[in-house]
Formats: sequence, C-alpha cells, structure tokens
Amino acid sequence: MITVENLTKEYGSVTALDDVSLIAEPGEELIVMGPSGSGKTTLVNLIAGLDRPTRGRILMGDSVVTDLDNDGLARYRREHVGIVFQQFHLIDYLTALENVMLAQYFHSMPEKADALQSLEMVGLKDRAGHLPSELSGGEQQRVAIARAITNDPELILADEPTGNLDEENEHMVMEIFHTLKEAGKTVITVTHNRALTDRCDQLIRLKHGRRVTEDRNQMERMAAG
Amino acid sequence: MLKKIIIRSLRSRAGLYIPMIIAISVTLWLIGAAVIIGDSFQAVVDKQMAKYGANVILKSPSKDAAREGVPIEVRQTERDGESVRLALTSIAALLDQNPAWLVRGDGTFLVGQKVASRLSLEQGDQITIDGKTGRAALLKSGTQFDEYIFTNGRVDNPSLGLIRSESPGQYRGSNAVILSEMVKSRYAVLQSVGRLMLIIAILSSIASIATVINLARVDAGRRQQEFGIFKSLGSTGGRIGRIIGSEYLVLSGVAILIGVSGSLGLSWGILHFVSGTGIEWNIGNALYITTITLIAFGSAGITYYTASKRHMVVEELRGV
Repeated sequence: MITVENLTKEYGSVTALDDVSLIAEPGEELIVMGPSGSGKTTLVNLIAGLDRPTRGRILMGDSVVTDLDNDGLARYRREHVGIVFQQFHLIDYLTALENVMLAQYFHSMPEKADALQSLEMVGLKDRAGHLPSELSGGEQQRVAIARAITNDPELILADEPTGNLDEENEHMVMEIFHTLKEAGKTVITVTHNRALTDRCDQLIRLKHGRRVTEDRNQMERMAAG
Repeated sequence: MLKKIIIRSLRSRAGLYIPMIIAISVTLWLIGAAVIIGDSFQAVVDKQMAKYGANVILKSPSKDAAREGVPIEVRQTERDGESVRLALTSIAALLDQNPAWLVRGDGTFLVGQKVASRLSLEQGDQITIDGKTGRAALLKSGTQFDEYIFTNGRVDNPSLGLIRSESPGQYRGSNAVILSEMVKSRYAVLQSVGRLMLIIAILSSIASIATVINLARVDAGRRQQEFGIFKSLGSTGGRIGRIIGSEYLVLSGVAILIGVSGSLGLSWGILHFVSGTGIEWNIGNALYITTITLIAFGSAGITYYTASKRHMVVEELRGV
C-alpha cells in the first residue's frame, strides 16, 4: 500500500503541489487528471522517489520513503517501483531486450529469458533485437512498460503513457495496465484522457497543485485509519 | 551487461570520442617526443662520458700537455690554390679520443665539413695535398676541427693535443676545449628541439584537457538524461560512477596506445634524422604519458559524475 500524506512541493515561490494526500491499495488503479501545470507529473515524480517533497510524507507499507537518502531511494525504485514515462526514456543505443535487461541489471542479475517474457507480455517478443529508433512510438512505450514490470514491482507509475500514442496503441497500453492491476499491482496513471477513467478505482483531480475532488471511498478509509 | 553498456555507449558516441582521442593523442605525441628526446640526449651524453671519461683538447701553447695525449701538428698548406689547415696526427687515436665525432667513409684524409664545403669535396673524392694523394673521409665534429684536414703523419712539433683527465674543469680557460662540452654542442640542437616541444606539449596538454571537457559538455544533456534513466531504474551513483569510469578507462587505453606509439615514432624520426642516434625509453615516460591521459579523461568523467550527484533524478531526466 502506498500512502501519500499532505505532500507539498515548492520550486522557489511556485507551489507545484499543495498538501495532497491519497492512499492506493494493492490491486487498485488510480488515475490522476488535471490541466497542464496542475502538479500531476510532480506528484508521480515524488511517489517514484525521483524528487523530494518540500513537506509531507510518502509511505510504502510502513516505511517512510521520504526519509530515505539517495541510495535508499535508488533501492526503493529498483525494488518496489516501475516507472513509465511519456517520452519513453529508453536508452537509444540498446535494443528492446537490452533495455529491459538494463532494469534487471540494476535490480540484481540480468535474465534474458525473463526479459523476453516481459516483452512477450507487451506483445513485442519478435522485436527484441530492435533498437528504439527502429520501433514505432507505441512499440517503444510497450518496451518501456516491459522494462517497468520486469522486476515485478508492487507499484507501477505511468506519466502520460499514452500521450504520444494513437488510439490503437493507447488502448493496448491501457489494457496492459489493467492486466497488471488485475495481477494485484498498484497502478497510478497520469493522463489527460477522460476515456481512460472508466475502469479506474480512484480518480484524483488536481488543479493548481491541489486535489479538487475527493474519492469517497478513500476519504472513508483515511478517516477510519 | 556492464560490458555491453560500455561498448554500445562508446560506439554510439564515436563522433564525440574520436576527436577526444585525437586531441589527447596529438598531445601525447608531443609530450612523449619531448621527453624521449630529452632523455635520449642525456643518455647518449652520459653513456659516452662514462665510456671515454672527460677528455680535453689542449691547444698551443700548452705543447707539453699536448704531447701527453694525441699530438696534432697544424700547418698551413694549399690545395688548388686554396689555403687549408693540414693537421698531422694519428687519425685512429684522434677518433678514439673523440667518440662524439661523426665520420663518413674511410680515407687518407679526414676532411672537416666546413673545409669540405668550401673546397666542394665529397666523401670518397680523390685529393692531393702536399704531394700526397688519397681519398677523403668527411668529419662533422661541431668544433673548430671542422675547419681542418687531418692526415696520418709524424708529429714533430705538436700545436694541439688530446688528453684524458679526471678533472677536465681545471683546463677551462687555458686554450682548452672540454670534450663533454663538445659532445653536448653536437646535441644542443636536439636539446633546443626537445625544450621547444615540451613547451608546446604543456600548452597542448592544457588545450587537450579543455577540449576533452568541452566535448564532454556537448554531450552533457544526453548523458545526464541517460544517467537519469539509469537512476529511475534504481541505479545508485556508485554504479553510474563505475560505468563512467570503465568507459573513460577504455578511452584512456586507446589514447595511450596511439599516443605512446606516435610519440615513439616521432622521437625516433627526429633523433634519427637530426643526430643519427636511437631512442632511450623508460618507465617514467610511460607513467608521465599515462598520467596526462588519465587526468584528461578523468576530468571529463568526474565532470559528469559530480554533475550527476548534484541533481535530482527528475532534473537529470530533463537533461539538465
């Protein structure tokens, strides 16, 4: 379970995220929506441990992620989190397979068979030997997803994963996330696409860094616990 | 996996790394050649001095002293109407006492290069002086003897003499030429070349290190983004340090290989064509060259590494 408590991020005089809280259970899919500059990406970056908040806490189970030092955050990312970026962020000189194995390398030991299995899950086993430049945008995003899930993390964070994709690829990517959720993973997705909210368990709306609508179930859970 | 990352990364950055290696290699050529020439010059001088001891040429009027060594009697004569200085001596003993002299060919006459040039004489030419006919060997001594023609003959009244002395300094200022200084004069030009190259090499080292760092900065955005991706996948700073370190170690190895072989070739060429001697190489040269290379590439690597440590992952992903 991931718990976000009163998270605030300020860049100088600009408040990118203002006192945001949420709880995400295993097997839940959260969608974070909001206009540009509303703090969606900041929220995901903070949960991913890619940045540090100005105030507030993030907990993974009982451990306080925000108290970790840089090495601790690196360990948190490699053991608990899979991140999917809008710009894919694949290493351009490594093949699809090697990009997936890279995540395994930083986690523990690269296993080609496991990496191929991850690519198979996203329907790209036959493209394993291709460089990112030889893949379409949708295929690159699916490689990024394979890389994010190959170490079997509890939490999948996706920042606008379908932002650069056509409708067909968008549908394919969201199906993958749904499958991951069904497999008991916590999936937090940032998106502009309202159509993607149909099947989500929680919808987090942000505006000017603040959470503007509350999920009833979550409010109840927070009040109870 | 580390090996694969490094090989692929190096290959993908060939356009950046090749100019880096060229900049460093050229510097290494200059530094290496300057150091090798300097060392070789000193080694040749030391070797010759160790072999022959410090010799002294004594000139008239120290005739008594002259008789102690290889006596030389100089007199004026003519050749085809030109006035020349003919020196009677034992040529073999003379050459033995002057190991630094360059002699080309065998002949009855040993003709100093200046007088040979004046009389248009070539090695092996047949000449007649004082009714004596023979072939000319050419002498390049770098001393006043380049103005002389030597021939074997009995010396009744020596005007010059070559002697060995443990303390040649005592003859300085008394019509004496100290052989160690004479040997050095032959290599003086090399010493100047070496010094000049060292100055250029030092300036070039600074320029090369700056070039490497600047070229590294050209790639800094892409590199930082790459490190950001590594970190987002859970890599620690130490692991990134290992990747950079290994990559730059490979680059240094290539630059050292090209640099050392280039500097050996360059210094051999200069020494061969200027002084006709071989090169002297020692471990100190290798360490010097290796240090310069490691500083250059190490600086670039450290630039990346410290920048990577300074930023949060999210900033690196933006390619700060």
